[in-house]
Amino acid sequence: MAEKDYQRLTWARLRRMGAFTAFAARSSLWLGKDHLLGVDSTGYAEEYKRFYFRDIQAVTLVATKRRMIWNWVLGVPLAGCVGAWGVDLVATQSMGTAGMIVGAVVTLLLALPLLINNLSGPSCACHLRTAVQSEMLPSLNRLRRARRVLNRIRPLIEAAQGRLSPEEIASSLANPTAPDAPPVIARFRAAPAAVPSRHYSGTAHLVLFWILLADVPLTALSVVYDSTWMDVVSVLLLLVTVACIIISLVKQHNTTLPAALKRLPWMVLGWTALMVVTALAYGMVLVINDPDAVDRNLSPLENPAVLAMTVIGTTVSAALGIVGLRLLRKFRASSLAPAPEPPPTGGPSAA
Amino acid sequence: MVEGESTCFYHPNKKAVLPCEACGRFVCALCDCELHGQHYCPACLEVGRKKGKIKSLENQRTLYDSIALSLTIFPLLIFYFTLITAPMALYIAIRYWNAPRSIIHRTKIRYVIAIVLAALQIIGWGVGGYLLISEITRNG
Repeated sequence: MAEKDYQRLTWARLRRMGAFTAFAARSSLWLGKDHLLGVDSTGYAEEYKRFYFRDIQAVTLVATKRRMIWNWVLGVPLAGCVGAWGVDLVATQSMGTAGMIVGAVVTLLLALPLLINNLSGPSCACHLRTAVQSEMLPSLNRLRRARRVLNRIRPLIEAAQGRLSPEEIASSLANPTAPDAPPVIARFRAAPAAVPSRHYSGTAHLVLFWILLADVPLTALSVVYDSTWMDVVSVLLLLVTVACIIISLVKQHNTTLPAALKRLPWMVLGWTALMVVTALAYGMVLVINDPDAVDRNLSPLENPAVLAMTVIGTTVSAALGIVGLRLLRKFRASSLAPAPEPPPTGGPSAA
Repeated sequence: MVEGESTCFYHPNKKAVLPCEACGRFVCALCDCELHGQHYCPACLEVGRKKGKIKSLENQRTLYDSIALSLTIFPLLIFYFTLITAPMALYIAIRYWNAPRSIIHRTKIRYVIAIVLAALQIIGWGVGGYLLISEITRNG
């Protein structure tokens, strides 16, 4: 049997290539005789990047909030689902077979990734640096896995480059721009490339937050005045909200908008998706259980579970809208404030 | 140049330091391109990169086996597409049977599955067409 050229170090993980990663490449790491091989695969083509052990200058691991974010993204819907089934069970005193199956499937679909997310350990971002590039290694996105891989390649790098004593490392850190370094390395060390930021006043965000607030009176109206027209207006509002979220996400890219404000459209997107999925799943259960009484069961005044979902949904939307408007107001106020005058240099100081 | 010394193929005024391991031409220190302990002249390096002869210079490959397999599986969702995709998959599987696959270890199992599935689909269309024609001729 022919000897394998490469040994697998990691399984493929999605490489983030912007806001939407549905068609992103999957990145994996392989161990070669004298180099690491990074493979980015789309399924039908592969791109290779070789990092020779003699060229690797540094591998950095930075802790990220990825695990916590996924815990929220999966945990909140899971809690919502469990809560909804609980309310339904209490309200109807019995859950049909279809309801149990749908509930179990949805719970499993959320609980399993949540379990894997926590069993995988803390998350991190791993960058590998050579003289001419700094490459992110998406497949090393968990601290435990990254350390395992680094422990495996460290002896190989030391065999190729030799080993530095702690004193030598401290000395080279104290004098980062060695005079004999090639120009490209000296430039790379001296001035890391900065991502240009542009000013954006946040108009799309403003519209989005006002729409979230507009959801409150509309929902209240739809509870007391149930009609087809109200349903049409609600669906239109949902579509406009989604459009505003997309525009906000596009507009806020590479801007001076604060991070908290940039996070809000993502939170609104997650919350909207959660509400839509929960409503669809619950609607399906109602249709399967009793097709003739769907209209009655979907009315918040008739069904406590729907009432609970409506109240929670509206409250969270309003809270997101209020927080967003406050943050945006603060940001705009700070943008309009005049820049502080530079301290006087030279000349006699005022007594 | 000193008499009896070889000169670089690309720079006749310079002394050759070693021969290219691909074409055997003598090259000077400037033209010597070292790659994993092997020495090539610039022309051989360029040809090796373009034609994929030097594996360590390859930075992209098309996975024809995955393409062929996808062409036999995904169209099954709307079976009518297999009338076109099955011959396409069969062609790709046979045409690229010996083409380099992924640089990381990969077997030919995808090609085999693609050929079997494509052949079954074509046979299915053939049998279906035969039955349809015989039904029409019987009724007509």
